[in-house]
Amino acid sequence: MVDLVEYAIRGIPTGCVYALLAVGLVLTYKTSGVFNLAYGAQAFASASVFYVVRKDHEWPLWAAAILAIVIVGPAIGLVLERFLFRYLRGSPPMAKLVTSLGLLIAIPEVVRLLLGSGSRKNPPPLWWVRRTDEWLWPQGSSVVLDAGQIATIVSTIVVVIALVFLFARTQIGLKMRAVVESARMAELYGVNSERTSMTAWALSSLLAGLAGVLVAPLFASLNPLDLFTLLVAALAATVFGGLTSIPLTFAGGIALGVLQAVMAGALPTDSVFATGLRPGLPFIVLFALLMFRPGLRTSGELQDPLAGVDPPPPSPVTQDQPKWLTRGSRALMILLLLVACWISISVLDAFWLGLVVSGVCLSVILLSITVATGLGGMLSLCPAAFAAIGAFATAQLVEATGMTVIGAMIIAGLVSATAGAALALPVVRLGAVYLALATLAFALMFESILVPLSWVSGGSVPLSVPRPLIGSIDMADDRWFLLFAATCLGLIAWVVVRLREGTMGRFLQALYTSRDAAESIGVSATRPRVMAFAVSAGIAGFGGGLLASYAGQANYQASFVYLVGLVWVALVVSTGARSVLAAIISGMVFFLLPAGLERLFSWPENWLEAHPDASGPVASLLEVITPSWAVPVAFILFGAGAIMYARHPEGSLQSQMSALGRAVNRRIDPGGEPPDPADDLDRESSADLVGPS
Amino acid sequence: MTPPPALQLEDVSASYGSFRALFHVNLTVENGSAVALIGANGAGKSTVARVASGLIRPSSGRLLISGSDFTGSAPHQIARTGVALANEGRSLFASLTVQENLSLAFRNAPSVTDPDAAMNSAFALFPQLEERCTQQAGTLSGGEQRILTLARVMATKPQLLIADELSLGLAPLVTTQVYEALATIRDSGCALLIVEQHLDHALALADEVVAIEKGEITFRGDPADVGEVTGGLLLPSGHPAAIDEPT
Amino acid sequence: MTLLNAVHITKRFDGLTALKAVDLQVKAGEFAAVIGPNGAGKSTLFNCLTGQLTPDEGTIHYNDEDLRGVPPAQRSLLGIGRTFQRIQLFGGMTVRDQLLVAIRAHKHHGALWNDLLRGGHLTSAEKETTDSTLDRLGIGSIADSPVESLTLGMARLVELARALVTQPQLLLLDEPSSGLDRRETAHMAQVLQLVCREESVAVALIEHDVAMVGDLAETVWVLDYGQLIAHGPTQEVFADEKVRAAYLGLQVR
Ligand SMILES: Nc1ncnc2c1ncn2[C@@H]1O[C@H](COP(=O)(O)OP(=O)(O)OP(=O)(O)O)[C@@H](O)[C@H]1O
Ligand SMILES: [Mg+2]
Repeated sequence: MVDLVEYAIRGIPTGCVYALLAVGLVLTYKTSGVFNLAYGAQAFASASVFYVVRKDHEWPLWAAAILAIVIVGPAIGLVLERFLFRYLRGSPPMAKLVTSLGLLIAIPEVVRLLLGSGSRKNPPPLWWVRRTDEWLWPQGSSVVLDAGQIATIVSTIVVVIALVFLFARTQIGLKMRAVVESARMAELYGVNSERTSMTAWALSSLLAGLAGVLVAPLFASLNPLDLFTLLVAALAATVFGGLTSIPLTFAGGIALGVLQAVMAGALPTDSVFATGLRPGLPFIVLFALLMFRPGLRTSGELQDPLAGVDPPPPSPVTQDQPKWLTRGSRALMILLLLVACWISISVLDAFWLGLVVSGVCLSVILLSITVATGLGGMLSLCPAAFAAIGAFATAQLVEATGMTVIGAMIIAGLVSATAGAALALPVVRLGAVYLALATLAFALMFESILVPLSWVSGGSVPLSVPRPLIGSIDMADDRWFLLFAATCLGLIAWVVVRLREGTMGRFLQALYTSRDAAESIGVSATRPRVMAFAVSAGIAGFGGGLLASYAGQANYQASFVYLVGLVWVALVVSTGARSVLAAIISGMVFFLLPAGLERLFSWPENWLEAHPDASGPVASLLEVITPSWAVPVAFILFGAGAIMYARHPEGSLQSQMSALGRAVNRRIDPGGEPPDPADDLDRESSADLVGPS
Repeated sequence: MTPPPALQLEDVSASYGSFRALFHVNLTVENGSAVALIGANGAGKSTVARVASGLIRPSSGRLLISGSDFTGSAPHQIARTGVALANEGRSLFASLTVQENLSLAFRNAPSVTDPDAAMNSAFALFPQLEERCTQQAGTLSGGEQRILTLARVMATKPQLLIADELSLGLAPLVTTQVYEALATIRDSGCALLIVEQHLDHALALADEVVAIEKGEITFRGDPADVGEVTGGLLLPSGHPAAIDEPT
Repeated sequence: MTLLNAVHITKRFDGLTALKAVDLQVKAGEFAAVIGPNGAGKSTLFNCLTGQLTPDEGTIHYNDEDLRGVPPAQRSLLGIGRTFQRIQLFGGMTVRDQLLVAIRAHKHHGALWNDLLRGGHLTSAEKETTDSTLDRLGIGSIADSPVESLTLGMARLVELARALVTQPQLLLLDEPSSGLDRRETAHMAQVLQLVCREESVAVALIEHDVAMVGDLAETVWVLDYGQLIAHGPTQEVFADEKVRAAYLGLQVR
């Protein structure tokens, strides 16, 4: 019993870390309407600045703290508000989430480019006392608190009290919530919405900076992934607080830390529970909360009642283009892809061909995102988990039964679809943000609990997967494998298009835009969405098997880590969530862009080697550019794609295509303008007078 | 010298994207007078209300409030001069409670010196709101939401009150009550610009009636003369209702 | 024959009892109206009938079938159609697509293999059905316009058409004339009359337009503060002192 109490007390510092992060997230969500997954990245940016000025430049503590927390933190927030989130105010939560996903990917890379990418060991503490100073508390017990932990506890409590006070005693919190719901309406109430939303971002980013600097010393070195995983662990606390209540969130954070410490102390260290459950606990709690906490089912997403003030969006091009044009452009696209295939086979060297094949396999996986997110309107953040399930299943099936690889891949797809349906059943009724969180929790539970098990992943050595063999055709040759993968891609793309244009697509769209109305005419609220989710998981599973077969092994660390899945989602959604072509482009870009950039960035080095006598400004300029830039720049571009999404919520590809389609239409039929949605019947006469500007 | 009129639209045109909704509209609301803006759906009434409150920037023409030029100002700047708009549809914050909605409005309205007193007068006007005080405004019934909006604009005692679709969704008894309250407010010096489908009430209250059709003002005058003018003019051609009813 | 029989429906929200043991009966082919002051519980009653809300107490029978635990979509398949006080159309679709979703949901075309084998294109039978439904309401000309471009009056008619295309036996309409101008209201009244009289669809109507209720409804149910204070033939109810005091105001007719 005494032991339990001691374990519990030991959990309080960790609990405070969770609470600090969770409170910051809730604050951002409440005051800016964005569930800011990039919060950890912002924290990382401030912590890096603090590290550099404190350790590398040896600034005094107070100056470093002011720069990193009070100046850099809010500055990042203000930039984000001014250039991104201001344009996203009326957008659905999904758009905001994807944009924050883009930032999550891009910010750490930008920080690395600006501040150098060397590893930063032993982040300095934000406290005047040395780390080694320790207190025993309570007196006489064996619980040890060091200065950093006490600093965290004190700061967390101060922050929570200050925020509670701010929201209870001033109008500022009310104003911020009002602006989140509708900036225009807030203006009508006499609130300066621009200033309010900038204040909100500055405040929440200040907290992100504080959290980053405080939490960084917990890790051996400064690393954005650690911060993000910690943030995801803290999500359970935000859900406990219902994304609104700061005191409840605080309590949830502490409870989570205590629970974790008690489990760690009470469970035997060598049991399956300890190895699997301990790291997975926060995600299990998060998932359980999402399932059982009341009040999350009714999605509280509100439309801006003043949206009618904006001019109506242009209608999707498919609506106003003749059928033969759609068919024609599709035929042209298929032709182009075939030509690309042929070129790859006959022209490319082994290195590039390998990348192209990987791209094709990945495109199959990415089509799963098109189904779940594009057609179903559900932002699923676990595509990589389903792909991994498919890869593992393929490997295990081949090994255990000796069946053909293709058969194994198909069964693996079914296995993955079943898993998808099982996850979907409880999850699809959640609101957009909660659904995304639930899938993220699933991805992390899978990663921390199932992946280490040997009957799933084969343990520490990746399972091997052979290439398919059809008759005498051995796919060990990359060129044959490309043809095979491209055929699979074509088939699945056809399925996706059929679903999109069919009853399924319409049902999903109806449910997405108005669930009550869809139910009132007989569309089940869950069936189409569960089916879409299962189909999506099945496609991901099949694609995972394909990718594993190409790679020769089902390697979780190399291909299916949850963070990679987030990059995929950001890529596909920002290129065009509903478009098949967008998924294919994303798949190719994911592999080809980093490699291409590496070639590009290695050019200066090669040139310098060839011209050893070159000197002066040109040489010193070229020396700066190294191939090691390739990956950061590629990831910044991936992130930037998702960020651009802020301006084109239908996806960049889609918006280009729509513009193109309208231009083509005008060519074909110069007299008849495509109907502008604004020109309805009783406005028509007046529209004739002016015509489109 | 007489004070300048509460609201003047001078030669205002406005559009949504490529669609033009208003053509050279001139409209004046004198201090302490009530103007009823009538017309079929889609004629441009709401656009007038939006231009007057700054939600839409006119593509040409000027917007004068109490004589000063506010063309292109942000809506909150216009709101701070004492213009209150009860927008059509949901005109409140669904995620805030009834009390929070009111207190936000009262604390940001220049004409309110004592927010608590304003709150009390809102509750005196519509006692049903007091019972719903801590309920989220989004879960109120349709009519209650309208009542909350009207309470918000009426209790701020604005210089100029603009109400779009004033009595939408209100029960008959409440509509009568609202018009009585509006008459009192008007008599205390507040100018009213009212958009309304229930003509009986609006015409009884108004000092002047302005009819708008396809973005242009087609009639302006005394409420007593409206009967003949509205005959069939207020309906856009090609509308289904026009087909069925012999004119 | 009693088509819908709701008995002693009670619904509580947090501290508030929005419906207290309310009864409502609608006979097949009948035109009934539900009236009452703002916040009386009319929309809440409808939501209980269609399954959007679950009543805390009371039973609902439809065609003698107990509706307890039947999800909303299933109730639509049984023949209950409805429209909403705040219009709810599906965004990003044309008017025809709205009806198509309804038709397909009722024909159970949701199966995956259907899409894969046959594709989801509009069949000529479906085109005919949607056209004739829209034509009956006088909005045939907007069949292929996107819903975002509709005026309020049109949107209300489209919502009605979407409910009608499922061929309901009972239609629940929540303030169909709110926000419509005089002409549009008259047109709506005509359409409703047509639907009820000629296709013998039973209608339950929530309205604040007393004249419209007086013209259309055969029976009226009056709610006040969540309680049923009167019901019966329209003229009798309108003459009731209690109803006049609570809702109509004493000066009305
Ligand atoms: N989700 C909810 N939570 C709390 N109270 C609610 C909720 N939904 C409705 N109410 C309350 O229940 C009462 C009945 O609401 P309802 O929408 O049924 O009224 P109504 O009769 O349709 O009124 P109106 O004519 O204004 O549309 C109202 O007082 C409303 O505030
Ligand atoms: Mg209602």
